[in-house]
Amino acid sequence: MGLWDIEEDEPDEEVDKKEDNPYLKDPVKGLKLLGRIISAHHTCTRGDEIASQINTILDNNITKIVSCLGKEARNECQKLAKLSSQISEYQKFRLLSRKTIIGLGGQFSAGKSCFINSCLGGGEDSNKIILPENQNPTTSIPTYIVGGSEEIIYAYCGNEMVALDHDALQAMTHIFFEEYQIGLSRFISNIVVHTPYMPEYLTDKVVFLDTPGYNKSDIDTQESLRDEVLAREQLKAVDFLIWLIDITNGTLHEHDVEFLKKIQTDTPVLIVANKADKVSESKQQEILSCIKETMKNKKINVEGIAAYSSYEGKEYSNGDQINKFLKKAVDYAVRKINILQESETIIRNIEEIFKSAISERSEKQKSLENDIKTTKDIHAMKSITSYYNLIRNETEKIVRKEKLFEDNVSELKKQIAEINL
Amino acid sequence: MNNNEHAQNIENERISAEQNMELLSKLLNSNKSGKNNEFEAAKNGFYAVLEKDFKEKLRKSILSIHNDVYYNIKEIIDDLEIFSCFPALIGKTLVGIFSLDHENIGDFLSYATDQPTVQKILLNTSLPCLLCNETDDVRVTNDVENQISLTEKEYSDTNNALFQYGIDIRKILNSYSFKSAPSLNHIGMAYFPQNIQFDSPFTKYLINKLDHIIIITPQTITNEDQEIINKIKSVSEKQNSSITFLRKTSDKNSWEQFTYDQSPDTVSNINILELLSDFNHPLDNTNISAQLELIYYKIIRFYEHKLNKNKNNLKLLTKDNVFNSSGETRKTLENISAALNERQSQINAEKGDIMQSCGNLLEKAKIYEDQLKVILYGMNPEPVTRISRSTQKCWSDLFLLLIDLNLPNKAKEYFSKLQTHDQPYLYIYRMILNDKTHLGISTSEICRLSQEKDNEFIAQAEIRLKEHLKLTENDCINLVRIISEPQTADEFYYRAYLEHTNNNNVEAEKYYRYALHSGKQEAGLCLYKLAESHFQGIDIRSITPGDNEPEQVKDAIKALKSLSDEMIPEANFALGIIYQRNDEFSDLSNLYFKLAATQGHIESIKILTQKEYNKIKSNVNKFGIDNFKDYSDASKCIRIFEYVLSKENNNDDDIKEKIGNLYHFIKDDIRALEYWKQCTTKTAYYGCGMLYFIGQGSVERNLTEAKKYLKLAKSMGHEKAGKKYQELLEEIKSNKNHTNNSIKTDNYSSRIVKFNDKTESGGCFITSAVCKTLNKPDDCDELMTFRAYRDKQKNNHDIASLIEEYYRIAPQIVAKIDQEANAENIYRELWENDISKAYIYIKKGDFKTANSIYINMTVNLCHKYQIDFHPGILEKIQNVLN
Repeated sequence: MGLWDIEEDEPDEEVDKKEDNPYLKDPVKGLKLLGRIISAHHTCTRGDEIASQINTILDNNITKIVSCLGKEARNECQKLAKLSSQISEYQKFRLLSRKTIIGLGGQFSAGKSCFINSCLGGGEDSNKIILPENQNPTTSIPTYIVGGSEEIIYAYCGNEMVALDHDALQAMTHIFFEEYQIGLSRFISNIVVHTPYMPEYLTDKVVFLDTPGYNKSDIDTQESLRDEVLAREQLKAVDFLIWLIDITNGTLHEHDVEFLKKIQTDTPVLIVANKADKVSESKQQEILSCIKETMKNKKINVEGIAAYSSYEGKEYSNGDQINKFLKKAVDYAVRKINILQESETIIRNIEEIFKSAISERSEKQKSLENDIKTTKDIHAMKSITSYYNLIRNETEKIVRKEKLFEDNVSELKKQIAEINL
Repeated sequence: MNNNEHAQNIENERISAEQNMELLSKLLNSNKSGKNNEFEAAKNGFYAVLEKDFKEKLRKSILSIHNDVYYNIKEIIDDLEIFSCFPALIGKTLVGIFSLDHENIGDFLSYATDQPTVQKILLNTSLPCLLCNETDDVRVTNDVENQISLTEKEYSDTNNALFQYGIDIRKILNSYSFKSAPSLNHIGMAYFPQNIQFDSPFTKYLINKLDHIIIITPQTITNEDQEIINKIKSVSEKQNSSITFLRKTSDKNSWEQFTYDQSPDTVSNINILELLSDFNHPLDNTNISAQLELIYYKIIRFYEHKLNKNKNNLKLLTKDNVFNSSGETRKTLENISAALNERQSQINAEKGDIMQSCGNLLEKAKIYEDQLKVILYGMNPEPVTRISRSTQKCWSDLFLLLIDLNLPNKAKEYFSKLQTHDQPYLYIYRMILNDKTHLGISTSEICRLSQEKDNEFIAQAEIRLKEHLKLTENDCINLVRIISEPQTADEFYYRAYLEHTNNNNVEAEKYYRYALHSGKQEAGLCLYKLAESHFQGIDIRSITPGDNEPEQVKDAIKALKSLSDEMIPEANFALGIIYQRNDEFSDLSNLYFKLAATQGHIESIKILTQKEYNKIKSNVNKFGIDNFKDYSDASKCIRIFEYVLSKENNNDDDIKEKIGNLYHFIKDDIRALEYWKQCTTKTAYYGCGMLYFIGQGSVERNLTEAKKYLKLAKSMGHEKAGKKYQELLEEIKSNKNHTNNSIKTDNYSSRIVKFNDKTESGGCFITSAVCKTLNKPDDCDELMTFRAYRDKQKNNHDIASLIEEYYRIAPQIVAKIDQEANAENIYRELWENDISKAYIYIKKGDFKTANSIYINMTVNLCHKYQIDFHPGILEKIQNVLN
């Protein structure tokens, strides 16, 4: 036994599997599968229309309207933006609503799919493969993993749902690329995998979203910038976030930090240093505390930092961070109110901000009015009136915006009610 | 079919499918290797600044249109994307050929390229084709802009075989490209076959980029064709590209060109080669930095506007002004000043930030453009003088914007660019430039401009040069019709006017407001008139505000309030009048009058001053003229009345009479007399008469004059005049035997030299006179300082009485000095020896020393001119000085 044996052993197994794949064995079948994916019609449903209108109202109109208020309002707006992404996602994937979406982010090779397989499939029992591993940037597609009684897989191309079997999924995300360098990620927006392997306590409560992540090169190119935006977009709607890094590469990369900083502030984040079996425990400790330090310095709130081995399916170091995080996500799902209620809370907050902005100004206005009444000096009067006018204009503008806000909100409520999530 | 054959068929099908899989793999390839690296680097540099820096700064800025700005910039840069795939198109005129006639398109194409290529092109019916390759092979560009060279079999399979597996190649491929015709080396031809997908991103993009469009139709145009033509037409209108319609004649022997509109017109026997050679010249299509520069300066214009508005507010708040006021007012002014200053520095900081980032972007765009130019010059050794219509429009817009921003030197750069690219209208740009730099404009040029046929640019130019062209308001309104998007205050104003006359009141209001905000004050009044039309016959003066206003009145008041927010004086005045009718609202009414008054609304100033006057008068009536103390209030009142008078051509007897009264209250009877004499009212006549009769203050008795005026007053029915006249007659009678001792009269009043500035109303007589000599304005810091100093010490009882005494003696001192031959020198000495020193001490806050200097000076002057103090004053001086 030596190096030779290993090399011979593993690839063989792979080749066997690949050769067995019916879509590869029968290229006609393969081409037809590709045809279904590529030529899917991008029709617009009523639901899409409403979702896009809601998006315009939330992301565009309201953000513009609220820009006249301060930072506080901008924070609320960020929450609304998240809500609007959730609405689009929920209306596309009804099964998401009322569950906690846990996003998986990180760079390409951080081992996100392995983590899911290991976490849900139970580690060493490698038969329970839920997601294809070792994907390539051009094959990997944001994938929702949902608990179910049997395995059902759909690819969403535009708004057309193409049902796939496990082999098709393997072919599309893995084998076609290895054999023909065909990657389909640009034609498929999402894959949804229903899996019977989801642990019971998570099944009705949690949905995982495995994202492709992005490869951050040191030089900013048009494409790398686009990838980065895309990666952020994909994680916009998640409630919880697990950020994976490859511990063998050392600590968090600068790009990871940058990315985390731009993610919504109120999303709970767990950082998982994967492939912990490949480094010594002392090295693990060193890296974990280094991550902790960085997060503290950059003022990024994290729920926990864990060292994990997908290969062994176990968490190292200080115990049970991942389970705790998942339990929290389950709790969150129980508490999770529907979108309509959530949006109403945020809207009420913004209304309050409007009210206080207006009253603050009208008080100022009143005091200036008094000054105008009492002053006799023509110069002073001129100064005060012009400032008074400035404040009055501001108040007027805010009042106008408030009205506009109300109009948009009533339209929004109508749309949300119609979409009925 | 036997089993063997069946197996063979299956095997063949498998092999062919495998080949097609290989082909598909090739077509989908996203690995871009063949691209120009310098080019890509320049583009990436631009994107990095845009996405990582500028976008974020924009988002946080006060720029209300930040999203539009971002997308505009993206559009500019996306516009060049085609050159990364097809650098051969740089410097070429892009001509689009749309085929609606499948039968004859081959014939047309054979003029554009060689026969084998035409045959190849015709195999494809679904993708746009570009004729720009140098080699014979067919290349395909996929949806991620990767270019792949195809063998003939691959090309044919792409067009046919893939469809059998349900693969729509339009979803994965953008375009084919073929060899171009060597004779048409300056044309980049884009051919659009019948089955293209109009809404695929690349097709849309390509159509937008065309410089010229040729549509080839059959003799009869179906409804379907019609739809396509309309689509193309709408793009060409937006992009300023022109369209030619061609078709084969019915006998199929020749081509004819026709117009496609209400008045169809046909030209037959068209020579296609000649037609194409019209477009066969190099075109500089690499100018992107100017488009970005246009955005850059539009952002600057936005910030300048904000800053100017704020600066105007700040200007009102001079330090003196704050310093001079007292108590609550002063605190308010200080707060305002702080708030405005903060705002100013905030806007400035943001502007600096945004402009720096945008400047970076501009620099990157220039690097990018340089890369394009290298290729352009490489292909065209001669300078390329043609530019696309959109570039021309961009340069022209930029030129005008730079002129509006008062950057003539920068504008000159674009003038030179236009100059080297044979533009018509060059002389007009020069005229605008000369007008801006005050270099004068020749009459011949003015004549020439006025004879030009109107188009948007001519209209913009003429409005800018309206004074030279002696255009009337109506002319300008007619011109503005052609301008699609008004930019300047004038253009907004005329556009509003136009909308107003067309009864588009909503639009009119919008544009009037734009005009007003861009500094066109006249727009305010127009807005008011516009609002008046909403009142629908309600006379605003008859409105009484209260709880039960009818809807109409409510609307009218609402409209007025909205105008009041714009500080339109007429609206504030109208509101003042409305609220005046109800005593409950008298404070509010006053507020509106004050708002109008500060904008220089004379009627409002008059009303407010009348109110002040009435207060003073009632005090005088109540406590008697001898006990009247509010000299400074009265002086202010005089000052404002005099201002109103000057604005009303000195024609208001009522005001003159009141000014006279006020002078009388402050015991300056010489001036009181002067004003009263100008009036023809009974009270004024009575006043004159009584002054002469009694010989009040500095007016000496003159019974003759007294008789004249009292008689006039009596004749006009003044109730007291009759009695006084009688008394006077009696006195004259009894005096007849005595020596007439009151004849010198008039000489006295002419002896007093007046300093007609209104400064004495500030009550710093000597300092005022000094400042006048030194040519310092009425609101100079020195005077304002002295006035504030005086007002601050009024609470000290002793000083208050000294000030009162000062009011009495100071005018006399000034009068005496004015009589001296070297009056000016005396004033200068007073400045150097006393007043300037006192000023310094006041500034330091050492009022005691200042007091002693000023008092000593006054005492010395009194000695010099033999003016006596009231009894007890010297004592008070001692008190103050100790």
